[in-house]
Amino acid sequence: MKRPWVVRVLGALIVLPLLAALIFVARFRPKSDREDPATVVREIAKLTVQRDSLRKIVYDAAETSDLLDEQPAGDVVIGLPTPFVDAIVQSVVTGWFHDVDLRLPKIRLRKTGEVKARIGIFGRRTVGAYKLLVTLDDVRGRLQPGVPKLAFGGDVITMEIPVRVAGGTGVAHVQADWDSKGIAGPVCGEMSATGDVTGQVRARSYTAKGRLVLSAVDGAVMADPDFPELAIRLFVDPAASSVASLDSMLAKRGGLCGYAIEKSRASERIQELVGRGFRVKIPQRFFRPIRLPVAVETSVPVQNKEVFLEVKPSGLAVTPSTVWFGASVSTAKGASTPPKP
Amino acid sequence: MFELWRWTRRQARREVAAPSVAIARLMFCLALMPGCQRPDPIARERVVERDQLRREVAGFESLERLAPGKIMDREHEVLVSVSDTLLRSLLDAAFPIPVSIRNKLTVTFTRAKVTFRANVARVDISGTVRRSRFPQVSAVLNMRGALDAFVIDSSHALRARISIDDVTLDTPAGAPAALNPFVINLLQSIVERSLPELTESLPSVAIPVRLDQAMNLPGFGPEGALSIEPSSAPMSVQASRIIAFQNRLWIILRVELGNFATITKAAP
Repeated sequence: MKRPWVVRVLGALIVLPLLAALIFVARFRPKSDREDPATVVREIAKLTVQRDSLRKIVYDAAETSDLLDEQPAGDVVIGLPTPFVDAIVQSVVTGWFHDVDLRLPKIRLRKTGEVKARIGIFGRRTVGAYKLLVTLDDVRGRLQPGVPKLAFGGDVITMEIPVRVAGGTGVAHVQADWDSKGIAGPVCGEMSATGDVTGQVRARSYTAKGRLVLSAVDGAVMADPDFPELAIRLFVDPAASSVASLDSMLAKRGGLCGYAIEKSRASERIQELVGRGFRVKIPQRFFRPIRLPVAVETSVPVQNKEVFLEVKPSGLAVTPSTVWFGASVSTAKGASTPPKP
Repeated sequence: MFELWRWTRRQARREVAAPSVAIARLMFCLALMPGCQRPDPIARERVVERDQLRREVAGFESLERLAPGKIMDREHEVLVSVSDTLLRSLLDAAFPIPVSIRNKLTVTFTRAKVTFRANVARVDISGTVRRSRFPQVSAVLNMRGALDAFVIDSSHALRARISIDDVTLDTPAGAPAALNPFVINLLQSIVERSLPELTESLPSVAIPVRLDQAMNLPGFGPEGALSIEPSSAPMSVQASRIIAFQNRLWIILRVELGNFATITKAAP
C-alpha cells in the first residue's frame, strides 16, 4: 500500500534541511575558502616585488631628503617646509596690507611773506604781503605690498617687504589773502580769493625690513614680527588744471595790482608747501603676529570622553628647508572627562 | 557540533508530537559538518598577507604618484609625525569597548597593539567573544587591520579609522570553560559576517593636532592715518598621504590658503 504523503514528508525532512544547510554554509564560508589559493599565492609574489621596489624609492627619497634634517625629538613633530611657510607669510603680508587706506587727518599749512618788485623810477619796493592758508582735508593713499624676501635660519625668519604707496587723491582748500603796501596800497587795498585745488598722491616705493621671531605658544608656532617703525611720506601733486584756475582767480585784477599779485607767485608757493610731502608713521604694532596653522592639541576625544594630554615643547628649529616644532605628549593619568553636551 | 546535537535532542524530547522536527534538525546539522570544518590556517594567513600587501602598495603608489622622488609638495603640504608610543597610548585610552552583535554575542575589545610595517600602521586588536545565553564561556578574539582613512572632521581634528582585514577566534589557553571548536567555528562565521558592524564600533584615533580652517588677522587702529579692518582667509586642510617610517607615522597634509577678505561686522 502506497503512502505518497509519507514519502513527501520524509523528502521534505531530508531535502529542505540539506538545502538550508548548504545555503548557510555557502553564506558563512570564510573569506579564505572563497578564493583560489594559487591565485592568492601568485598575487602575493607580484605585490611583494612591487612593494619592495616602491619602498626602496620612497625610503631612499626620505633618507636623502634635506627636508628631514635637524628634526627635533618629540611624540608629535610638525614640519613646515620653508616654501610652505614662505607662501603662508606672503599671504599674511598681503593680508597685513589688505585694504589699508592711509587717510591724512585735516592738515593746515600756512605761508606768509612780503613781495618786493622793481617799480620804474621808484626802484625795488615792497608792494604787498600775502597770506596763504592751505587746508588738506581729504588726502587718501593706498598701500600695496610687493613680494617679500624671506631668509630662514636660527629661530627667526628675516624679511624685506617692498611697500608701495599706490596713488590716491587729495583735495586742498586754498585761501589767499593779499594786503597791498607802498605805492600799490591806496590803489589796490586788500583782497582775498578762495578755491579748491585737487591733486594726485604720488606713487612711491618703500622697503620694510624686519624679522619674524618664532616661538612655541600653547602648542602652536607663533611668528612675532619685529619691525622698526616705518615712515612713509605722502606726496600730493596738484593737478595743473586746478592750479591754473587758482591763478586765473588771482589774476582778475589788472594794472599795478595785477602786477603786484603776480609777483607773489601764489600758485608756486602752494605747490612748494604741498610738495614737501606729509609724513605717515606705520607703527610696529601694525605688523601683527602670525600663528602658523598647525598646532599640537592638549586634549583629544576618545570614544565618549575627552582625554587630556601633557604637552611639553621639545624643540623649535628653523632650517633652510623646514620649520620644525616638536612636543613630548603623554596622556595625563586620570585626566579624562565626559564631553560637554 | 556536539552542542548543536544536544540542543537538537533537547528540542526533540520537548516536542514529543513532532519527531520529524528532530529528524530535520539532525539533517541540518549533518549538512553543516563540511562547512563547520576549521578553515585552512595557511590559506587564511595568505589572504591576510595579500590584503596587507595591497594596502602597502596602494600607500607607496600614492606617495610616488603625487610627488615622485620628493616625498611631498613643499609649497602646499606639511608634515605631522606621531610616535608609535603615543599612538599606542591614545588607542589604549579607548579600551575596553563592549559591542553587542544582534543580541546574540557580546564582543569585548580589550587592547590594541600598533606596529609599523612598510608604510602601514598595523593594528592588532584582542578581546573576547561570549554568547549572550552562555556568558560564562568565552572565546579569544584577535583582529588584524590597519590605521586607515585619515580625515579631518568638523571639529578640525585629524582622525584615523581602523580597517579590519581579518578576524580569528580561538579557545583561550588553559581555560576549562571555553567553547568547543565547533561552536568557535560557528561563532567565527557570525563574527566575520558582522565585521562592518564591529569595525564601526572601533574607536577612531584622534591625532592630537589642531588644524586651523582659516587664518585670521586682527584689525588695527584707527591710529593716525591708519585704519584696518580685521580680515580672514579660508584654509582647506586634507590628509593627503601616510607613511610609516623610522618608527613614526608621518601624515602629509595638504593645505590651501585662500585670499584675505575683510570681516564685515554683523548687524547688532
